[in-house]
Amino acid sequence: MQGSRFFFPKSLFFFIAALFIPLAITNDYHLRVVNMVVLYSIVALSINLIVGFSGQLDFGRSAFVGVGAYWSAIMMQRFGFPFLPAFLSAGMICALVGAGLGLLCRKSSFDYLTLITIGFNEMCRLIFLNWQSVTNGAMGLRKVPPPVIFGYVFDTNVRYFYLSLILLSLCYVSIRRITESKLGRAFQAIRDDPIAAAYSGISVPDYKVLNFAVGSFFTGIAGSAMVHYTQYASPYNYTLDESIYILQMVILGGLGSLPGSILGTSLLVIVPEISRTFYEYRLASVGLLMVFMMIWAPNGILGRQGVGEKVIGLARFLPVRRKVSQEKGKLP
Amino acid sequence: MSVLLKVEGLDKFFGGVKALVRVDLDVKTDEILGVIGPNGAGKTTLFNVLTGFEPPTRGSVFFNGHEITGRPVYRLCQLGIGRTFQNIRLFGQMSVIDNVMVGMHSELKTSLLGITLHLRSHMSMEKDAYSKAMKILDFLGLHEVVTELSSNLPYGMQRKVEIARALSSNPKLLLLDEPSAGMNPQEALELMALIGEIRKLGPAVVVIEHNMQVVMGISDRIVVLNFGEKICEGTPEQVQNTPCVIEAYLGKEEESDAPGN
Amino acid sequence: MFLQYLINGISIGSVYALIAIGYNMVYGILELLNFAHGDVYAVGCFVTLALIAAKQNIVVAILGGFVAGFLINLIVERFAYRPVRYSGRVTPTISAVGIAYIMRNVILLVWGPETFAFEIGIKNTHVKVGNIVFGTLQIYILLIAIALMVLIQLLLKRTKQGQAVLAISQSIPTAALMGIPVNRVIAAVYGLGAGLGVLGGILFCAYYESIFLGIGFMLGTMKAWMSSIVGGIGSLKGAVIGALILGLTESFVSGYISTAYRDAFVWGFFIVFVLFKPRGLFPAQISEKV
Repeated sequence: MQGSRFFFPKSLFFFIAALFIPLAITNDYHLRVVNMVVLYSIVALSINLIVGFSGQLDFGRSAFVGVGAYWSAIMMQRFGFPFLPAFLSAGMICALVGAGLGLLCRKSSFDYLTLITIGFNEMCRLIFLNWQSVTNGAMGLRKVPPPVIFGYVFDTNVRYFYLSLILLSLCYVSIRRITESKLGRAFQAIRDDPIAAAYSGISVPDYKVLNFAVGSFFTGIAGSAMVHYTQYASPYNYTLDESIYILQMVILGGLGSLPGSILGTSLLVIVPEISRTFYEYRLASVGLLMVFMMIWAPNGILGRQGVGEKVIGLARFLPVRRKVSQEKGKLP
Repeated sequence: MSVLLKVEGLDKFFGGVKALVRVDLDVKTDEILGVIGPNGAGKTTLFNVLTGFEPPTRGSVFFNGHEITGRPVYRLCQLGIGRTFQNIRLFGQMSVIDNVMVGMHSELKTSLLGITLHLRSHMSMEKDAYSKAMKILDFLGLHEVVTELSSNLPYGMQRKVEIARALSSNPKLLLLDEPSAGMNPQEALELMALIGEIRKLGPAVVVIEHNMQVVMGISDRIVVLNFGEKICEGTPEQVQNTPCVIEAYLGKEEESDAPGN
Repeated sequence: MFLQYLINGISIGSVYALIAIGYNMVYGILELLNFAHGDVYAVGCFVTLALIAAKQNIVVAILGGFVAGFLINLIVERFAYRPVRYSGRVTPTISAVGIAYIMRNVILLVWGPETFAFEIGIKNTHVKVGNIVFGTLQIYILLIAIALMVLIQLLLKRTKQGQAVLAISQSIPTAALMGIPVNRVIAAVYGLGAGLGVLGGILFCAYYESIFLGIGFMLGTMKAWMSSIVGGIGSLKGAVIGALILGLTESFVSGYISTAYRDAFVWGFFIVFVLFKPRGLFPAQISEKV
């Protein structure tokens, strides 16, 4: 695809730059925060695929992170599976569950979908909390083993950084390619006008299910990667508030913009660490952010006609070449 | 010319409202059929029912000899029927070229593997689809706005994009619902020429129109609907002079030069 | 036991009904998920709590809460919802979520995360009939819910203002063309919805004799939403019936199946229900035009 040739240098540049991060950030705690940014970015990308590209407002993504996490942890801890099978199977299970949920919702309207996903999140949380024998209930799963790939143990922040970075890159490229393909176009068509989409040959309910399944796969593997990092799975981590928070990361970055998801995630993971006020008044801060954004910047920072583009528009006054409409109609 | 689309005894009742009553019509391959009638005559309902968007209360629809009554809408594309809408339905957040490429959805065969791994088979197929879409956009004079967000375009161009999208699936039958709505006379004339050009490409065309100049100018035959019933059918000249048609538009009056809106 | 569960179910269902009425007024008109419904009226309930603590007359306290909820929703509607009213479906929803969070934070800051005792002076005296225990409060709640539903139906159908509301729920542009002050009516509906929610919330807290900041979301927004969907979108009667069904389901599941997993099962039933009756039991007819 024409876009790819321009795409590689930009993202490749970021990737290579990112490789040097552990050298620049030596504080262990800071590196841990960075790792969480990377891992949450994968979840954010999956949310973008579902909410941003297909317009399905899912308020229950955190449940899938949890499913992936618990599954993977239990596979390794209790059944002695090696990491890669546990990890990949977590993704597959989430894809299946996602497909199931998608099947339930496929003929539902917007509102139902949102409500059902909230219900699903609640159901999962309650199961995580109460199914003592499997999930260890409120205590959660502790001492979840770190990943071991071909004998190499990923149990330090630095090692995990590189693992996560590679994982993020693979997910990013995959999702990007999906959005640029017939699949991505179908998803967006469903978002913009389901009736016209049907007239263009798209079986809307089927594609909604597919969208859920594919998105959930990525959410699941992110959940797995997270739990082997934090080495702890708790039902208090997979709540509705979590789902909304991660969703907000995607909205901040710009629905429909993949780099935006990474940017939004970075901001909403790092800022609470830096700003004491933000952290203490978390609810109000996020709440105010949401309201202000919806009124003044609904497209987020890097979304089409978002804050970023407006700022660049102002930069017209500087001798800098203005970014022309994205190559060949591909999203940023 | 053989019969491409056959509508037999179509009834559509919404509770007590009779939107379509015993409508019969034929569309032959290669012809342009105009559908006219006062507002509320059931023209768009006709399109909705024969495309499967609404099930008929009674009656059948045949396409190329096969019955397609009540088939789900998404099958239409594969069958070879394309449609535009009275109120433009574009994919507003997508670029013009992406809008058109969506129309090719049923023809592209891809797999998740091909997409994520950028396999050669997938890439060459996308490339072909891309050039085909560009050709159609060229044909419609839209080559300069290919990467523009479709919702940013002026109204007339949006209409053209909708037509381009419908054309991209190589339809044998094209249904246009009031394509000249909102156009000035100049644009309407261009549209007439365009529809003429489209016919040369292949598809039969059924046009719902209010603009008499356009519909009389391009149609081979015209069907007139009023209160859900077909009240007249014939060539443009025949229809223009039929009293019941004049009456439908203007009410019971002596004579007038031509049916008006 | 069955009858006891039945009574409990109807009681709690009545409370839900009260809250669902308020919710459904907005939902029915604008078909927008008012995510913040619960959290806004929760603030109103806390205002009532504060007034009670300040030794105010119980009627004054309830009225104060009602007015507080009403005013808050007016302000919120004006500044957070109206600007995005026509911006699709995602944007207004997120805006409402934002307001919900802000309200919750307000409660957190002013009153704190603890659970407080809540008494409005109506003692829930128990009446024993055979093996079943009735609470007098339960009966009051049921009666109030039904009375309010009837009252609102009458207001909607018989008054000019009610007609205006119905008109707007059919078509905003047309209503505007008819000279209806759309903005003012919508603001009033939001305000009234919150006020009703406050009343419902107060009764809920009186029933359980406690109040905490979580009552808004789980109770108001979620239960009201579920009730509206079960009962049928855009139908007040449906919202009440849906609420009663919800209350009964909760009661029976809790009694016969499990208390810990109660919500999981209720959600499960709800999801299955939505599959079979996606428009609810008594939906108002709305179809999309092409």
